[in-house]
Amino acid sequence: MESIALTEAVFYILLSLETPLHGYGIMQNTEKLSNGRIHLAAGTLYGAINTLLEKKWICAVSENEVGRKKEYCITEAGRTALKNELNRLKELVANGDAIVGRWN
Amino acid sequence: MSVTYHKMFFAWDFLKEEAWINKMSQNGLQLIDPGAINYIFVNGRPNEYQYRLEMLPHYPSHPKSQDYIHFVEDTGAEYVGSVKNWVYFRKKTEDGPFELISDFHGRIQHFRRVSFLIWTILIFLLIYPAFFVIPKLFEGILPYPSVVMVSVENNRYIVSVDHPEDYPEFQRYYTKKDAGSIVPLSDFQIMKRIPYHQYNQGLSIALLDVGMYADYSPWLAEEIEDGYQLIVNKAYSRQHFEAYAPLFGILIIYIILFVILIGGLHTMGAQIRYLKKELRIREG
Repeated sequence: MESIALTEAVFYILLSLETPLHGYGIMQNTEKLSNGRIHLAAGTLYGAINTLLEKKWICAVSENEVGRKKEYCITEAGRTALKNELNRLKELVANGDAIVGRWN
Repeated sequence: MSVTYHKMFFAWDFLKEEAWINKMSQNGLQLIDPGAINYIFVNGRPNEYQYRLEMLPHYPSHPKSQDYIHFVEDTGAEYVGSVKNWVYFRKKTEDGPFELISDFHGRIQHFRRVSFLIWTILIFLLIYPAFFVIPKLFEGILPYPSVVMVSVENNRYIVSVDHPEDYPEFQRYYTKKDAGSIVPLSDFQIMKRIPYHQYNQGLSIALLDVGMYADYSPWLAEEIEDGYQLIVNKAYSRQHFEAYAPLFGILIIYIILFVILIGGLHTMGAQIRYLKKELRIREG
């Protein structure tokens, strides 16, 4: 199967959508999870969300009438992608640790 | 109280424009209405807002653009206004960092969008003059400076043209070899660059339109058959130049525009190349 490294933005978007969130929620959650290291830019997030919607890795939760804020949730395909990515990252960490870990 | 500032930025200098607006914010002037050359600010707290601008693929009123603007607004930013496809956002500085596009791919895409705009203008500039030139060809204006030779024989003017096949009117006179009629010298007129179908047959001669070749009269003299006489009207040549002077002005403006636009393309190209290189080793 094809193995594509996910971008940090996509990784954290997928991770954030364990519970349905709107765009700003994803931004805040990502910032919190990364201890403020990653601040998703609005346009970048917008582009990533639309691409993920097209790929059906995430879905739009039906909009509520009150606010116009769209909420998103992760799909099965998204979960699979995230799992594959996590395995890939584990491999990177293991290999990195084995070599770089010896340096000190 | 609002203050209006006049400033103009080229589309590809949007980063400079953004920096200027943010500098104004630091000085306590907050942009409330952007324009092509008019920027309206109001007094506010120094550094109250951070500003960002972006060129959208569609007009701001387009549903896709509206969707995007609402999305950005939902992240705590404020939509300030737009100029053509450019939209301006701001966010309170205390609410944390504010950026619209942080990834390399998105930035490349944005620079490409601006490049496309520059290309559109360049192509338009190339095509636009054709609309003026092509109709002219059908108006019957002499396609190039013609040299009309006039000979004076027994008070008769004989007219010949360097390319008689192009000027049937002259050709008739030329071939008959009795061209022209007897006219007093005072009636001799240099007719201005008129289309030859307007050529006044009542007036025997003559169009002396050596145009830019006026300075080559010694060379032209060699070309003239015996018995003919070349009359070069220097004053007319000057007029001729003056008629073309606006064209030279336009040409110079064109050259300047081209240099500016190609400079813009170069700037965008350099940014795109830099980002692409970075993208090969890391993600934005």
